[in-house]
Amino acid sequence: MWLGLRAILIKDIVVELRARQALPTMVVLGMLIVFILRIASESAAAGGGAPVMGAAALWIAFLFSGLLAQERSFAAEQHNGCMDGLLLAPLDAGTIYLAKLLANIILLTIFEAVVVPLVLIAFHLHVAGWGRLVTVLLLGNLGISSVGTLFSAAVQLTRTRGALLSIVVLVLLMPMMIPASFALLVLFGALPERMVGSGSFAFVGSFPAAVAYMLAFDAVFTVASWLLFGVVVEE
Amino acid sequence: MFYLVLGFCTVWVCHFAYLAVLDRQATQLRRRLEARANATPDRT
Amino acid sequence: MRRLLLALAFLLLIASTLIGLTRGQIDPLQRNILYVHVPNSVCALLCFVVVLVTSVGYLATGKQTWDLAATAAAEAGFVFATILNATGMIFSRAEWNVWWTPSPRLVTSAILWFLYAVYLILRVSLPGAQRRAARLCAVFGIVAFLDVPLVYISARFIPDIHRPNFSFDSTWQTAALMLGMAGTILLAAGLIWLRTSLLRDTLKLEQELLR
Repeated sequence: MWLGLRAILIKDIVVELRARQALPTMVVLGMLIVFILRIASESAAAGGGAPVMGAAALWIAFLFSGLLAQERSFAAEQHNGCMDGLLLAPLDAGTIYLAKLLANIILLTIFEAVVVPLVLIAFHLHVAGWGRLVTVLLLGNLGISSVGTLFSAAVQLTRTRGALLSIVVLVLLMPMMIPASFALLVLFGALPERMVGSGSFAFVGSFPAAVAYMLAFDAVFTVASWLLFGVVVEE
Repeated sequence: MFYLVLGFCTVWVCHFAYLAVLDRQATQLRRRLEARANATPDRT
Repeated sequence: MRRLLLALAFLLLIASTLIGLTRGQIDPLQRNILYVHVPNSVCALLCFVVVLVTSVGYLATGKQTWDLAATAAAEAGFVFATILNATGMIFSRAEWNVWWTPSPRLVTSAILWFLYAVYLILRVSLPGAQRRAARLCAVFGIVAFLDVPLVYISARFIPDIHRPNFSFDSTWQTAALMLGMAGTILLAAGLIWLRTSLLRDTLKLEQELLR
């Protein structure tokens, strides 16, 4: 038994060190998660506590659930060669992208409808303005889905599919998480509407500015992905 | 002083590490080219 | 030619260090890190611009050299971004007694490093046809550039713990910084050039072996 154990253990480690595929992805993924949590909960500015945890929990939950949905969205097509059929159809790639994007947005919205009340109850949070909360969440949803949909098509054939998709999407969405967290913290009453100073939240400045930043990110991501999708799927 | 030395050392270490990687790859490439040049007459 | 370029770059860097540590010394001592921190930071960003340009070039023309140059620029950029963050952290520790704090400049610099890291991982993870992998990396390079350096540049205009520029007292100090800047940029150009031709030769050899 020990002999077999040792043989397989050594084989696995040697294979990993030779191929160098999973380990760097794991390391970078771990660093990214730590980093995003740090940005999302800049406790020095917000004073810590339930609102900070709640906001961070919400965005992390959205990011990873969104990734799950996006990873699925092209896996099915890849299986039976459906992707080829889809590409042969008299549609341009942009249309395929928009359809996939809408599907992912709807899935994530349903998920949000369940998880947001859960987070609000679990962390005893009071929301200042439901309309604004919905706006912020939908903007975040659009950003997460647009990048995720583009790159889920890209990483389908790789061995470390899920992890690779996560690091690509997380690193691209990281800048958006700053205004997104700021907006949620304002809505949860942990930050004032307007901030001055030198932290990364003061960088955002005010609630309308946070929404504007998110809008800008969404616009750039969506338009760029829509234009570049054809390049990604074409054989 | 300690931090100054640490900073400068980091820079030089990083630069030379990358150069060393490039150098190793160049050596490997040259070795393969030579091996190929020696092997070709036999094959034809 | 490339050797000459690299040798010149190292001469300039050594000259910059010598001037910086003697006539152009900044008080207190640890602030002299900025003679290496600033040029390397600029190069990290410049390499990103090169990645963008070569990625667009690849998508527009489909020529492989563009793709190889993008890889080379990303690798060099990764080295410079590592130096940027490492020296930044050392400076921050010496100056403000913390290794890292979420200020806009520091956050965006870290994101820059992450982008390079993910780009390189993406490069080695994509299997199959070379052309497809190259296209995907080009797309990532473009989206990444739209995303981050814009934030990076905008962060320059925000009040921050990190000062955007130091004011110099003497021409010696300016000279040391400028020499360092020139040396590092030459070094970056040399590294990218060297790496591109190395990649091209390796690929050519592999294709011939396959035949």
